[in-house]
Amino acid sequence: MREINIYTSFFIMIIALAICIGSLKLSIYTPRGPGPGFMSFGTGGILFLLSFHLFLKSLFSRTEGGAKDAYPKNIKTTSLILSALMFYALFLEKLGFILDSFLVFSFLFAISRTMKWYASIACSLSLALGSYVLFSVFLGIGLPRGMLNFFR
Amino acid sequence: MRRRFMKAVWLILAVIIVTLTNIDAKAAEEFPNRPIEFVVCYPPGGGADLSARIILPEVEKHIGAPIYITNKAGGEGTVGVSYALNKKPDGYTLFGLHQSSTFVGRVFGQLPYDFNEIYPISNWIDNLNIFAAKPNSPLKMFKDLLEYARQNPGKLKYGVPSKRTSQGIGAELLLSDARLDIVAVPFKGSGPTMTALLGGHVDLASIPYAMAKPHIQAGSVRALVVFGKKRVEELPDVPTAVELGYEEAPLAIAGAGVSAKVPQDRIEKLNRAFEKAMKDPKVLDQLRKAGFDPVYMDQGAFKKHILEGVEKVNRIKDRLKD
Amino acid sequence: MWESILLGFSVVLQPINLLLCFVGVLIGTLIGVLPGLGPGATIALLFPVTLGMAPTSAIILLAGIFYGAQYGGSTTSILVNIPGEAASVVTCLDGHRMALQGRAGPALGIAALGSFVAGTVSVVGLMVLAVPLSSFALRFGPPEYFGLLTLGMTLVVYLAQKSVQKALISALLGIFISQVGIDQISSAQRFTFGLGELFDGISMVPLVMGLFGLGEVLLSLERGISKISVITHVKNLLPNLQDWKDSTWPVIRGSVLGFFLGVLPGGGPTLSSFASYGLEKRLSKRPERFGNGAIEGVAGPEAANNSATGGSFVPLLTLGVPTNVVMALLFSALMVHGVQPGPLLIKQYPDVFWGLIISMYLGNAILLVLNLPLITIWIKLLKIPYGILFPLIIMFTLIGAYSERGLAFDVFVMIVFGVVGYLMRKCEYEPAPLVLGFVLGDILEESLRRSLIMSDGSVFIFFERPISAAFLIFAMLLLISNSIPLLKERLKTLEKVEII
Repeated sequence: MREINIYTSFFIMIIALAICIGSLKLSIYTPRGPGPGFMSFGTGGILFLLSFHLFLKSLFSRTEGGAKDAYPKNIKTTSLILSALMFYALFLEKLGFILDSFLVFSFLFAISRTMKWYASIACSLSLALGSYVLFSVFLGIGLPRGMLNFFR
Repeated sequence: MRRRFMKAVWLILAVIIVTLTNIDAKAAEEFPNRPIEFVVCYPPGGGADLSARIILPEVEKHIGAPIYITNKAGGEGTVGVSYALNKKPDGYTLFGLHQSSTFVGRVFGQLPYDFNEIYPISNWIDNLNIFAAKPNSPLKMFKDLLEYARQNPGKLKYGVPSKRTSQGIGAELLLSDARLDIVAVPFKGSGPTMTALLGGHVDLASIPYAMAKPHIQAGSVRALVVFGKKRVEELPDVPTAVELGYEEAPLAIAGAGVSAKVPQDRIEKLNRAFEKAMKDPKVLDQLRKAGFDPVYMDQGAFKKHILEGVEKVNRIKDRLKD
Repeated sequence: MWESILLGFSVVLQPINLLLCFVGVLIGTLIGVLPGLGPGATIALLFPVTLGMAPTSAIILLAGIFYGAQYGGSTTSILVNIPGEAASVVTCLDGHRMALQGRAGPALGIAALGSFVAGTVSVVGLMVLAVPLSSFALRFGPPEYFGLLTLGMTLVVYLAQKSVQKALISALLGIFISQVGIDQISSAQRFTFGLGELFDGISMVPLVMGLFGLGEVLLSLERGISKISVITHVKNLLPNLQDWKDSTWPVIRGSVLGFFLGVLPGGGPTLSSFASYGLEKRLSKRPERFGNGAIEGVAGPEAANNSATGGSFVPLLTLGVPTNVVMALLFSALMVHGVQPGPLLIKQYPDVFWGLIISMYLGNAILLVLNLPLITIWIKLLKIPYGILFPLIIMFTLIGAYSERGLAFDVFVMIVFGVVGYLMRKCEYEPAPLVLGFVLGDILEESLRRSLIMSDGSVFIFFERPISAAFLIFAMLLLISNSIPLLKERLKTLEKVEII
């Protein structure tokens, strides 16, 4: 954990500084009391102090905790899933909910490799259609129709 | 096996895209021949959403095509408008218009689209807003308020649901005309503003009449002045800002718009459908009962109203700034 | 009083009202179980339908959807660590841990039964205390909220499982995130980068779903996609005797606390579950169990969450002030039928008031009967292989994130917070304090600034008013009492170092 703490606290210190600098652009104190930047400036300041303290503490700590766990594993699967989700968000409005969900779920089922390909296609198709009916028709949540905008 | 699977996915995608582009090409004959999308620019369940849900079923009957609602909230009502304007200007996408997505947003430069790209079709509702005080306060009438505020500048505080709402604009316009120094305490929405007044945490409040009505009846709140030029039926003794010699506050906006690039004949069709719906006494009655104050404005009046709003808000721009 | 209750029963026991009550809570249960969906969209959809009904029937149906939706909110938190709203975040902490230990059944059972008790408490509270409570709620102006929320912020200490310092860092990040968007008071844009989607701030649902739901999925997938389910053994379906003993008082305390906080609009209802968690951890003899599957950590907050729902009816029914979107819809639903909610409602329309309250009692009973058998079904869901389960979890988070505002942008927000949640877990920063900071941050800030506008900049306003002064002093005492053990420990380690 020591090494990880050094990195993360340093990273948070930078974020805290950025928050403070960003708050300076807003007025921090006005004649009528605190301005819009007051809270974020204060938050950034305390955040900086706390993370700086954590940084020093971990830098000088002698305990070499095990925790190799903290480094990401299986990055390939994770990034594949994340990029599938990015694709989903990007094309949700253009393709419409049904099509987009179908594609992404087929992909997710494909990388999970738990079903035969025809089973996973059938599964994602029924998932996409079923959830559209449930959410959009019964519960009134407007899901995007995208290119399938010819039926009611 | 996985390869074959991915191949199948791509194949299906290609087929769907080809068929869909074909459908799109032959769709433009008689307007409207497919469902029309109405973009409500606030989350489901709010006032903007509710009024649209009351009016649109009636419009649907007159236009001859189903209208479905999508909610695109964000950007104080501007995200939905830019979403709609980014679609093909074929008249199949309408959107809700509000102050912040028209004149207020224009004055403060917060519109992510060109102001002239909006074609206002019709306005539906106006908010009757009032300045109210607690009955036990020494401010019994507007005159008392004038006197007290002139002698004690900056001492009185009034609650308001954010300064850039119709309540805030109405109040600030009046205060600027009357040269009064009353400090605004912005709350989150009209509910909390109302409770702050009832609890005596502010001296005055600028609130929608619908919210104050039960308390005026129960005698726990007193109305001092109505922003606007029309008196409230149930409050015959309360003067309006116009009667007192001040300018009329710009009305609140909740209406429909469409992209200005839509062909004129289609806009005409939409116009007529909205006009018929808004003249239906049943719709007006339901709106009134749901706490709205229906007002029908056709495209011309609506456009003029928005431009007037720009001018009025511009005048008090500095007061709405901090 | 008894006459009024009888009147209420005579209204509710009409077949049509009974049916509507049942339909309402059924729809509500469905919405509640599906994470991230609020009842707003469905109520708005049904609103035109209610125009043709009698006012009492309309409000019985719509209110049923509302409190029914709060009931099942814990299900996905416990089963798959997806909270649908801020209040369920607390349930995730111990509830999901219980599920991983094979005790999903008791967790779900205690959540349902706790909610039932809480529902009953809040109905009784509404009957007896509605009117006096409304004047209590009115005494809460900006300074009082500031005091209450400052006290609420001290709960961060109780959400910390390992390092208080890291919990504080997490909470501060949450406060910062709450500042994004157009400032309510000055209308200035803060950290929006000109993006319209950020004007109204970052939405709650994508944030919690990313931090918890997606973050957890990414963490689990690290171990590789297995063909087996995560939870292989399920011990028992219902809470055992020890569970009952452990949860009785937390449920009662949570119900009372939740009801009172629920009356306060703006922060009250969300604060209630966090407050109950903090209270139980503080009172517990073995606080180290919290975060490792303590049943009190599910029972208390779930009860608090549910009775807060009952409490939130108080401002609507006695003051005519709707405090959230759903209350605004109920307000309109009553108005459409010529029933004006407000101080005169109870006198002018006793049938509406008492009919609603008795229907809430009945609805709670129906919900219990509906939910208990469902538990067996939910537990079977856990036996689905993770390779099939995780795309389903992802689907729920995607729809939930999208549905609140209808923006694809919020799906991106969810993905970003999913990555953040994953990394935070890896680096042992807890996400729960971040949510607390996010929920309370902007209300805290606004109440501070409002108070100072009211007092022309003088901070004495917080100490002149008894309620806010009491809260602030209490918060101070709590902080001191919590730091004493820490200081003692520090002294001990220092001594040790010297000896070495």
